[in-house]
Amino acid sequence: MNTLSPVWASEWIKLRSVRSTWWAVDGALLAMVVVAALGGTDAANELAAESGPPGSVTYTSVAISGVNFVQFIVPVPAMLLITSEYATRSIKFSLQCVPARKRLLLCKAGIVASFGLVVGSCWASWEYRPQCRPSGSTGTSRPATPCARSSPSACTAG
Amino acid sequence: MNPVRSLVVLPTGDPVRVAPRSRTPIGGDPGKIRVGWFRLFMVCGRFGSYVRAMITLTGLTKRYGDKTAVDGLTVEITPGLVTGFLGPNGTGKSTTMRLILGLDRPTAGRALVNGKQHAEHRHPVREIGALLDATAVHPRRSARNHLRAMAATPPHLRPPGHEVLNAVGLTDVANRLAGTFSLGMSQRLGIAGAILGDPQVLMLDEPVNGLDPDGVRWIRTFLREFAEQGRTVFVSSHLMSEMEQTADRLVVIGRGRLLADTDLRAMLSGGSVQVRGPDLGPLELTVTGLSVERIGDLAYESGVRLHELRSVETTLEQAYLELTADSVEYTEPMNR
Repeated sequence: MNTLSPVWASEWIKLRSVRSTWWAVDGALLAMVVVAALGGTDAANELAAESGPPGSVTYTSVAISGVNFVQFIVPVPAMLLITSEYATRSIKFSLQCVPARKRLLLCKAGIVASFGLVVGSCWASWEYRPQCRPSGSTGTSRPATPCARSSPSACTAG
Repeated sequence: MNPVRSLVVLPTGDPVRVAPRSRTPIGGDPGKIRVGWFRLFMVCGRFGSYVRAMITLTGLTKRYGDKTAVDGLTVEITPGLVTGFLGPNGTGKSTTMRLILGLDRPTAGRALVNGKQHAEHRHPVREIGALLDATAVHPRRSARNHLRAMAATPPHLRPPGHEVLNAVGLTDVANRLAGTFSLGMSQRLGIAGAILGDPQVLMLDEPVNGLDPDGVRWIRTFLREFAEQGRTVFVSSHLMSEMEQTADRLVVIGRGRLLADTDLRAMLSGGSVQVRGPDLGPLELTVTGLSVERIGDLAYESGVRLHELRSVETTLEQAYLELTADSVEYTEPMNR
């Protein structure tokens, strides 16, 4: 694997040294928060209107509701990492350094995949955070804590 | 043994060491290999293929559809010399360089760098430093990060510190985005990328484009010093005056074919003599093949008065234009 790690390092420098990557990361967080907030208000209104039983909506389902939307933002740095190289023709420099096409593309794919995984996990766990403090002060209803933590889908209202 | 470190004189006049490298080339200075048993053993150990730093093209051909860009080019670019690569626009200079770097696959023939194809090298950055297109950098990445990403690929290469940036005179602007650079600064950045791996072979496509006079002089000394260390320099340019001052050897191609592969001096030999005098009529004569002295003697012997007897040196431009007259691809339409 020692032939991969330097390429990996090089791609990591490329990924982090442009601003678009960090715009996408911030954008993903923002989008998740916004979607969760909208989902939360929606659920709160619905509950208020229907006066459903407590525990029918979990924090998790609200918090995670943004993921469907946010997963369209994560591929942005992935696409930019490769398309910008062809657009600016700087792929010439990359291929000069790493003439093995497979190795280069594999590392590019790997670095964005890992980056997406890390960022996604960080943001998701950050949003999941209220679940750990079942104070219920900000939520739509009192969460069914143990159930929600083990399997959120089992607790969501049908 | 020749030190691998290179001293470069900056535009400011300060000598600076460039391209640090911990690796000592096995086999010693590639310019003059001394055979010793240990060294021979080491040489054989290195995949048995240690060769002198050079570019070898054998029957290199590239066709795009029915258009032949490079046509059976067989040249050896030898170390210790600055080899100029000349040819009219669109005759395959850049294509040849792309083929050497493995950015294109040749239709036939081979292009070898230090005995191997570019892609076969473990760390090509250490074998050949190349600059094809100085503006081909991400405009939103800083110069320093661009170089760092390039330097990261071969392991154990020190990240570009002051040496490389100093050598090209970009220290003060290293953190600026590459998109804000002028063409001359981009050229310097490209050259920094080329010398990053302290390669044995340097290949530059039009490096003096956009450089200021200081930069032009700098790159001239830089290339000369690089070649004097026994390394190989292959540089294309369409500035004949520049080539005349920099190159030792010229490779001229036209329509993808080799037109000349000669010494600069051989190319410039064969000047003419301008003769004017009242006995010769109103015309000025151009005499080739005779020395000024011989013409003067002949005129004296035959009693011809001369008012002007002037030796005209062939410039590279003239020699080049004569050579490539038939192979210029894009010319003005003759009559319209």
